[in-house]
Amino acid sequence: MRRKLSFILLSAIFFLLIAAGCSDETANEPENGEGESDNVSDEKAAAPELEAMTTEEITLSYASWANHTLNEFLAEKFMEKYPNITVEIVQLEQDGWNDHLTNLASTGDLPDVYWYMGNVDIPIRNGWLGDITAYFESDPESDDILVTMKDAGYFDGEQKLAAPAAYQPYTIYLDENLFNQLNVDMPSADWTYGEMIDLMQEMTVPEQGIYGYNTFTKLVTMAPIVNQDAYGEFGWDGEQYDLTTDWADSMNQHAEYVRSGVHAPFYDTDEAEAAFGDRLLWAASTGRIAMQLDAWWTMGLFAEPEFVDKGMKWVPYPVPQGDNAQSQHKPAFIDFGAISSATEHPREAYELLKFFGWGKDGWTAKLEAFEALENEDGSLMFKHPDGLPLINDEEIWNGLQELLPQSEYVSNFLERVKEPIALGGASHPGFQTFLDEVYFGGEYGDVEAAIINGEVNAYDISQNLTDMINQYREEALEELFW
Amino acid sequence: MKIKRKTLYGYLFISPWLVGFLLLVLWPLIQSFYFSLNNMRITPTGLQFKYAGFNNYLDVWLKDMFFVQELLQFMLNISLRVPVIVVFALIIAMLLNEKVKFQGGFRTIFFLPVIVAGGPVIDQLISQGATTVPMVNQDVILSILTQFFPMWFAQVIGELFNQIIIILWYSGVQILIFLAVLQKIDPYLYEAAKIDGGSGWECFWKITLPTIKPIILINLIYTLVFLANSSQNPIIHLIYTNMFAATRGYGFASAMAWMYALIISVLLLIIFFVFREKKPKRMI
Repeated sequence: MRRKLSFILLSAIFFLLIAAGCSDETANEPENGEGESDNVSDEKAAAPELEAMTTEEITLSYASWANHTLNEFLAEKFMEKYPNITVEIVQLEQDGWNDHLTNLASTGDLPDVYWYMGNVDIPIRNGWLGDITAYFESDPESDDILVTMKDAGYFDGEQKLAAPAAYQPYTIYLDENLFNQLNVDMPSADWTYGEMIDLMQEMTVPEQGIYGYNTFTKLVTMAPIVNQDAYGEFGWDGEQYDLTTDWADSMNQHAEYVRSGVHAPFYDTDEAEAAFGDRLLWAASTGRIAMQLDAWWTMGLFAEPEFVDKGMKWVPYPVPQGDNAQSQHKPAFIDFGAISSATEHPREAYELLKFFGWGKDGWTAKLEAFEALENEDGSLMFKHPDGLPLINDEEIWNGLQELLPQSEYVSNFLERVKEPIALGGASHPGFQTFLDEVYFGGEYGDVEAAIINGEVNAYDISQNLTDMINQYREEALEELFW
Repeated sequence: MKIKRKTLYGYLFISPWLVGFLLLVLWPLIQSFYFSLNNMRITPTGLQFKYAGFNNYLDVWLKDMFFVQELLQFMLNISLRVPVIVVFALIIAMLLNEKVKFQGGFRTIFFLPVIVAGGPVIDQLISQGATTVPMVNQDVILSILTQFFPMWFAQVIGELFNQIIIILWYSGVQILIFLAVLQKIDPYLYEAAKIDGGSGWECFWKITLPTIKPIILINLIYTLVFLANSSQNPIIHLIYTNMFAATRGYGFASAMAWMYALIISVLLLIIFFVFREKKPKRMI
């Protein structure tokens, strides 16, 4: 009996030692990002080097809705840099993008590297996102990423599952000619949110049919981000949403401006027909709008003769700074990319994601593409470069600026858009589901429309909405990461 | 037991349909029922299931606020559209059954939408406004209707006027079915009735309608199933949306599809019992 007991004890100690030895080895592996929490800082301090790329012949597939010719150009450049890697561009229709990805995933054909559209819950729930924490954190180039973009993609706060891949800032266009016509000074590039609101009012001249502003992007998205130094829509401070202050203020402000005619009549309405003589005319092309709340991609469009010939001179302004803000946080359209959780070459897939997204080499190639790529008729394909860099590299930003119109407005703009804040859907679990089920499809139908129509007051429902969105986030984190 | 050669030939001829039915109907049905009992994830390495019992079915009723709403709207719509389509089809079929010039041409014209306006084409036509009547002012119709009916009912009738062209386009197959049965009615019956002094109106009620009654049932069923499966149907769209929704997915969407199928089946049963051929009572 005693011998038996001793044998069991010895065996137990033996296996314990082996297990301890094994776990120690695993913890020291540089590519493993999932260690005990106390070890994380030590590992970071050790800053393991990014593991070497394979030299074997491999093929990686890539899918994004960016310009296909640009994608092919970048793929060529990547293959020049890594001759042993073949990149295949997977073409999918942008309409129903996530549905197409779902179909590909169901047949085991999810691309090695891909962008997902809008709702991050879909790739998380279906386990499409490969963990890039170890690569990202040991990559020296990660230090160059715009400061507000570094933490994007850590959906659960621990694992980096996606990374910003394209950046288009919110942009406010002011019609300089209209300002001159009304003898109103153009605001400073460092204008504040309050100044913008006042200017909208000031620039509204009903007797001349001039409206203060028209929206594609919304005040209600801007205000909480710029005024609360937030890290996301609806006043997201990194832990909680808060719609009770700037969201409610800006929503009521907007509703009041819509009702009082500071905002231009909405597209395809009787009011638009009465004001412009054509209900289907875009308000920004009438020459009677002082500010168009829009995005960076409209810059090229506003330079077209259609607008210039009508006497408009749209100039870009960054979203104004918050009245008491400490940061330069501004809302932005950020597209996210990820590597497939099933890719056989995660290290190389990460490199491809970086090259097409934020990497300096990739951006150097992009700048070359913007200058070189032509349409079949010989005209330049990118009259206006596509998006802004995601890294803080002076060379790249200067290179981009050279491709843009040489104006003080543009240079002022570029200097002030280096702290972008991603919109909620693609970057916060539960956000899009909240929008679908509560914000745009809940008790009040479309909450914003209900407030504008005077059916509800933003202040009355803001606390309830705050509670619900926080609850949606918590539930999403529990439900999605199973 | 020896299988007859004719029986074998029979099975041989229907084998393409049998294979198609087993692979493309029965198997997906079994799959979707299995999906509906699970929470399902489509990972790059394969499908993952988490058994949920009948929770998805409960969630369809308790969590999706649009399902009940769309379902009620759909039932209201079909209660008007199905009779309109079937009656229109019958009238056109009777006209096409008359000996008129260019009879073949007319028949082709009325059947053409079935071939042309299907799938994406109809979606495009609708989005381009080709299926609305430009002269019909929806607001005027609605304001008149609201004087007589409550708003919810007036809206349904108003929508019927607005989409009248597309509704009538849906009647091609029904016209064809009615035409087939009308041609089968013995002309001597009409002749005998006429000799006895029967008017056209009386002939319709006493001869035509009783003869084609079983076909009316078929057309009612066909029309209801067609409208229920139409790509224009908001419930189909809702099921599709849920299929790709992050927190719902295939399991939830399958449960919704099954609930919807069950309700349609109940409606079909109701139609069947109302319009079925009743056995004549035995005379004592």
